[in-house]
Amino acid sequence: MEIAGLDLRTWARIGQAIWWLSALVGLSIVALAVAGYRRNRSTSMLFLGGGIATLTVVSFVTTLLAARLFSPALLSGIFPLLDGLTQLVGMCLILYAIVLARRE
Amino acid sequence: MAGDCDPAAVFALLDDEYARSLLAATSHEPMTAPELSDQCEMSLSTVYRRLDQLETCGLVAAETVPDPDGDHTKTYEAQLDELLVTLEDGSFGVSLSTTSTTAEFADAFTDLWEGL
Repeated sequence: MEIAGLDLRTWARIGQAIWWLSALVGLSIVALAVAGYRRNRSTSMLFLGGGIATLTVVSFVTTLLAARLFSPALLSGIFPLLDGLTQLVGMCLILYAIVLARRE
Repeated sequence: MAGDCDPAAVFALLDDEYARSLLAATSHEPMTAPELSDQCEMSLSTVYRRLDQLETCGLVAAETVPDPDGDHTKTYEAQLDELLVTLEDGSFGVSLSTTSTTAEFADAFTDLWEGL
């Protein structure tokens, strides 16, 4: 089956490349946040970095690990939970970073 | 880099109390010589003499800012972030590392976030 002249396997590869790329971009934003924390002693930046790291890099790693560790049947049950939990933790960290930024 | 300055001149400047307070004062924001003279409590001629030496070694940079009334004011800013002293084959070397681009982006990001 082809979509816009490319077969599904190619589309899957493009999707995977974008997925890797977003983890890399996430990592560089995290690095900037951590550098900001170290240079300006801003705890808020540390939590912001932690939040972005959880949403991008940690989510990337858990997806990668889950795909290796669990069978496809188990994965379909457990993955939404893992993914949702990572997102929840990441957003809580960013929320806390906002609260800290107001206080500092 | 420490310009056309030999390491001994850099050491002498850093040993000098006046030069150090000028560096410290200009590390936050660019300042003019009269402002520095006020803040660091030293005569204007001392300020100019030290700034001149600091500029030769690349430790401060001067920028000319045009005034609305036609005059030009010179502001000075410290260029020092880290100073590395090396001793190799009996000769000293100093290399100056200024704020990197990454550090600038990190500061901009912090300002943006904290300004929310």
